[in-house]
Amino acid sequence: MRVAYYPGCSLDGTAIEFDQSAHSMCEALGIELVEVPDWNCCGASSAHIVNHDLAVALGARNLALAKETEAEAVTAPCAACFARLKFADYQLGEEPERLGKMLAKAEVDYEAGQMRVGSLLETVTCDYGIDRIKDQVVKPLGGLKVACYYGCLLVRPPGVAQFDDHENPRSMDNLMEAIGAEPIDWSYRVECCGGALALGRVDVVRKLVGDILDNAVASGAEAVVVACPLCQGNLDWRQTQAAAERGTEYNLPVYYFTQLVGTALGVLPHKLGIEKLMTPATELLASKVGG
Amino acid sequence: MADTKAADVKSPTLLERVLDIAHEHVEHCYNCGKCTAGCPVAFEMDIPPQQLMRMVQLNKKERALKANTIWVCASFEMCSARCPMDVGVAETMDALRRIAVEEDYPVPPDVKTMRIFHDTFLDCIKRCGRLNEHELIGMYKLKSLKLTEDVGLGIRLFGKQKLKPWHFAKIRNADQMAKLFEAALSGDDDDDH
Repeated sequence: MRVAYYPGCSLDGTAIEFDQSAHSMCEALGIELVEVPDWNCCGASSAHIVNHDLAVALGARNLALAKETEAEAVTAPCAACFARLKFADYQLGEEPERLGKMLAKAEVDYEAGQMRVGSLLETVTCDYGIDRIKDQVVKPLGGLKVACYYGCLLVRPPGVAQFDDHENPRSMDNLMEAIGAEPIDWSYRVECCGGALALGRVDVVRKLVGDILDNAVASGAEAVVVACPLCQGNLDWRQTQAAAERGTEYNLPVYYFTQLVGTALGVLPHKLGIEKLMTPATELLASKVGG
Repeated sequence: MADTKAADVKSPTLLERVLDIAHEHVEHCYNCGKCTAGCPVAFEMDIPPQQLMRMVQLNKKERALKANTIWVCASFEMCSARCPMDVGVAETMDALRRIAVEEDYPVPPDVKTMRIFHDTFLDCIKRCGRLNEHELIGMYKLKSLKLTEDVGLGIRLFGKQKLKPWHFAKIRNADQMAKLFEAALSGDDDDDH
């Protein structure tokens, strides 16, 4: 299987372990990732805030470059990047004429539907298949109790994302089950981590993070699993701040799903960047897979 | 449209502008309140999403665009997903924000940092085509004067080599970014106003 790979800016920086583990996991599964040449920022939290056409243009340039890989689909590990690329393709389908003119001025050669866009979670669970992954598990996760956290942009807006159930998604839970973890039932799987407010309104983020982690702990989670660098950043880096505000401690590692799948496939921790996570995460995982 | 007649031409209502920019039919909203009920940040808003939709219907432009609501909105999208009348509430927020920016509405003090964040973000990608997170954080802190906030966290990220000030990503075809911004921001839907 050969897929165009759009890493996005965070995976070249604060979410470097998501990039590492995505590559390691895909290599173990035999998925060939071809990086989109000269890709640009998707515009993420800010372009659509100011102007939707700008968000479309930034996304479409990446999709145009993705065509050069000659893969039929492009995958983005980051939920925000996925949402922006998919939105660009969707919006071009809605207003082909007006936006087509705009793209011509921007010297971007792309038309709706030329690339199929998926999140890495979708590529792995739908295109590749959970059963195929299950067959390759060599180190099952020993019933590690995980709270699968989807957040917003993997599944919403449903008309654009067209992936899983937007109120009660199951894909990550099914994937975790297949690799020997135990996904817990909890109420905050599609709640908000504060995403776009990460720098601008830290106080709001701390409250949202505290609410999510409280529910994860109350539901019996030993760890949280995510598929988005913004979710990971907020839930992991702000965890001690949120805990201090509530006079409690969480100590909940926040793994990328790629790190857990990689582990189950027998990839070594340093190739998955487990040590890069802020809340200590190495020992818990080692204790579950038995060294 | 002739300049001399400008005063005679009825300026479009907020409802019309939202329809024009975001293609959202806010007139379909019957104020059930599902958007507000599912909004994770409604507790921080001056005017909750459902009331803001009503203000759009009633053309209460000043109140709608001066509220902190459009800047607190985190684009969580639960509002749009749950709307029984299929109104894109989050997309309407985007349109209102765009109007507020274009018409220089003042940003309420408690959300000035959000405006600074978005402006800084777009400056960064316009210049490099990529977002260098250390640049975004540094520039944001200078402009917002939030210099001491999260210093400890910054040091920990640096220690994990997640923030790498020595690494500066830039796309090869950086000139195209200026053209792309220009083409998008001079959009033709402004031509007919």
